[in-house]
Amino acid sequence: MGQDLPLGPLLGALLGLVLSVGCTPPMLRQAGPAELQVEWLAFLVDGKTSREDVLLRLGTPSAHLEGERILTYAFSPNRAGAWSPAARRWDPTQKIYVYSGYRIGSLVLVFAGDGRLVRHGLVVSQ
Amino acid sequence: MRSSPGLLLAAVALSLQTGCLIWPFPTGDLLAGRGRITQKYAAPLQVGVATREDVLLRLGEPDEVQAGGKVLVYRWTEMRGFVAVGAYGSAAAVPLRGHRALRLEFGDDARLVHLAFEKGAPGTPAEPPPAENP
Repeated sequence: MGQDLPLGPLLGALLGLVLSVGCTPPMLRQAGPAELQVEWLAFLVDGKTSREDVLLRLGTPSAHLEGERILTYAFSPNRAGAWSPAARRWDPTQKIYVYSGYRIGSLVLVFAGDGRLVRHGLVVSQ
Repeated sequence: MRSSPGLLLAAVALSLQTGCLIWPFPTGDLLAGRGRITQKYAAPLQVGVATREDVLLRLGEPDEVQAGGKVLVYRWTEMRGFVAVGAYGSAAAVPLRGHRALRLEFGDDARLVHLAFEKGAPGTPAEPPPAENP
């Protein structure tokens, strides 16, 4: 019975699987100083940039924690290579965001009580 | 990754007999989440030392926030293999999902008190972090 099966499609699928083995999924890493100095992030200066500056430039954050003290933004590169807000949907079953892009950046901004930026970082997947 | 030739031959032989192939090897695809978090990458986040903002600056936005921010959970789903089925004139492959998570708990002083890597599908449905409730 198994000999009657057309093996071409199955072997094609098998070959695809074989070729894909050996890869590792993208891993998180912190962006380096040079990556934080790109044009769209260069306005972020610890001790100087205000929360209002951030909201005016980057828009609504993707999440906030500790009230409004910590803001996060999710970005992904568009077709032109420029970073733009990441397209994603919440999957309640997996309890996880499913992103339409592959390389995702998470910008984290920490503010002091007076609304000034005190720490910031960019986490990217690669 | 490395796999034994005997195991591969057994998998191929099984597929020839039944038209079904179970391919239990990671392929490297990320099905959901931003990316894998390794133990090495999380190592600087020391219990009793790291603060919530240290964690956020190193790991980015969490996938789940519990207990008013006292628990942060980062999740990702990897392709752990395939179940491939061949039929007359067609074939299909269904991914085997590998759910992974890093759970971090904080004390009243916002310092990390517990860090654990977890495996398996999440339990009850959850809500995303504040500010985005689709």
